Amino acid sequence: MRHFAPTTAAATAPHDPARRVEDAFAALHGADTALLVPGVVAATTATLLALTNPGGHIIASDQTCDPLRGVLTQELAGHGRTVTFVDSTDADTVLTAVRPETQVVYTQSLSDPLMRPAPLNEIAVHAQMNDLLLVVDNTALSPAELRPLEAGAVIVIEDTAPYLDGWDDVGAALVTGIDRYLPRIAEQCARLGGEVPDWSAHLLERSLSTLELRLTAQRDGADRVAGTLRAHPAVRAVHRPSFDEAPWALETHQGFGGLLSFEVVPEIHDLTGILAACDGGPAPLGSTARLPARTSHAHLSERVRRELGITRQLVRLAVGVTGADALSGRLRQALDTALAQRDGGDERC
Amino acid sequence: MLNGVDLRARRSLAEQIGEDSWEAQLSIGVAAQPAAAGRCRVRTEPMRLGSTRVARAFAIDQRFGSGAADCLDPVGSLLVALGASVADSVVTELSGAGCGPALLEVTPCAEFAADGTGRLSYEIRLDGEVSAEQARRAVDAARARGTAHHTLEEANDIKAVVQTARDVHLASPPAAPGHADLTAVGRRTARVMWEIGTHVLAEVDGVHAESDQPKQLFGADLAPSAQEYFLAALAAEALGFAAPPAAAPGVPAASVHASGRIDLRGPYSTQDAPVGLRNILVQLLPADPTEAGEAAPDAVRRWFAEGDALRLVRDPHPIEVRLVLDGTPVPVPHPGNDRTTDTKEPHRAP
Repeated sequence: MRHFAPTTAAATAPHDPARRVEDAFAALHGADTALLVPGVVAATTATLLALTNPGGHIIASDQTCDPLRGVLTQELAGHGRTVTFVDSTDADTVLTAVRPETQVVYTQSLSDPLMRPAPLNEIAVHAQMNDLLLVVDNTALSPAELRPLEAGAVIVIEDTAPYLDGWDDVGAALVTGIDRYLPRIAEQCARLGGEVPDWSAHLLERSLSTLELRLTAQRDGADRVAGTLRAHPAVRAVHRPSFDEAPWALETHQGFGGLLSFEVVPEIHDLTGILAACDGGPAPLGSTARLPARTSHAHLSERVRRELGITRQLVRLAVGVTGADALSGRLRQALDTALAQRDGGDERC
Repeated sequence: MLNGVDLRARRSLAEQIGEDSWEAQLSIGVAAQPAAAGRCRVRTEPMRLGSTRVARAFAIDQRFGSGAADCLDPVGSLLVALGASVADSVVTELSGAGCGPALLEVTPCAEFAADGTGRLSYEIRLDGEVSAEQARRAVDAARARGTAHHTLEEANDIKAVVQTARDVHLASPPAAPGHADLTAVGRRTARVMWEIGTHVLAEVDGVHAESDQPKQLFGADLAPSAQEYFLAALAAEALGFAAPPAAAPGVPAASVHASGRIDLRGPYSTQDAPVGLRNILVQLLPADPTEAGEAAPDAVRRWFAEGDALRLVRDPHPIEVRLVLDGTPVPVPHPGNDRTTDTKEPHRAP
């Protein structure tokens, strides 16, 4: 981790690729400075440690999944912090978790994989009234869709995948926010160690320049695919936020990115064909799909997954930049086939 | 960063609070509850720093009376607070001048006359690459920007609330300035050794203590702050007057909460703002809050009349400062115009 030295986005472009990425990312969020950190878990851990003291309390979204959830429940406890997980899509629930020693509210702007948007405006008001710092993981939306600092957050964290680095070449994260907090976060990052290679920073810098174009295409594609899925009898639910469901987001959001998830009817056990239909092939910027119950939430028990709403039939889909209509067609066909075979064998995927 | 002092962060804070006075307000509180016989445990409470919170969970064990066995008494806590605050100011000034002292030791001293009036002084010992002029400037910084120095040197209105069925509000106005030529019948000293940054190790009559600032104020969160020691002294002493000598196990005990506020523009920026701890409030919750008798208010009145730590904080005391550089005493000019009388805000009617 490099030593933190504040710069402004308007300053002359520096030679250091990492600094250029930081400046570009800060500018996208309307901030002055940012930090490039090797990994979103390290970035979030460092941020939460930097903004709290031993004895402090953190309110975190219950949609936080491993490995970060493990860090919050175990590693942070070892550093004297306590964490309460709440449903951060309900601002009143966040408020009821506030204690005298609470210092930070941490939430995703859009939960993954259930795609529930957090009402940041409302949470920020509660946070400000209680002298709390609002930290937002904006990975699922990116600054092209939402700029949480304008909604009242003090720190924004974003994983470079899937949006900032459209080609998925880089494993890193970026942190930006109000200037006064960043030196402390940089110091904490330095204690955790690690550095993003210059070449990765260079790739990331090139990718950032096309963020808005890519997000526009992905947003439109995801909306079209969601429409197709909603109309299909094999789909029980589609998790894709809209301004009709969240009219408050009109004030803050440009859209809801290129992610969505859907649940097929319970009678369909074999999801192999559906996953194959979602696969955009080896071409870059294509769509990808995964089963959260078998991947990001595999470490949880069936009971906990059910409580969280993560069923075995839930498919999480990241719609690519191109080919949304072809994807819709393939999905329709795969769902038709699955429906026809609904009485067939066991789950295989 | 030199000597563990982040000058850039301090300058950044000074700029920030200069623009936004609300962000400069630091509210501090502690709560004391009886522990074993004759002693209590004082816990620090989350601070409010502008629009944020600082949550640290420290406990300071305190004896009710004077003398010390294995934990600090209230006057001892005040001396630790004074030494820690002075060390912070001195090392910050020296770091700004590019000096790295090999040793910084502060020896605060409180002397008491037979009538209870007190006199305060401290000696600063510096070793290392520090010139006499730089050392004098550091002493001036402690006088001008030291929170504890100002709190003890200036008069403070201390208010108390006894929280019974009907709250009783009491106030303890400061006495006239003390005389420097009092005849001491009692003397207490502490030895406060600077470690790094805002971290100090202290020793009072064989009892060891540590003090450090929260990381939001450039410390390392290692121990209670100087201001928390200040309030712990008041809370413990008040509880000593209000609590029974030894509460039986399981019986509800009285507790005391002490709070105060600092305008960080005083100690951290060059703005002309009050430097010392202000709005000191002590709240006593008796063992039986439903009881409307006079016992609890009388206990607080006795504390106002007899409490050594309270009188040190409440009444103005000229503080004598001595400087020893590399083992040689260095004359320190008496402050001609030292902010001791012109930085307090005018008293307002409640």
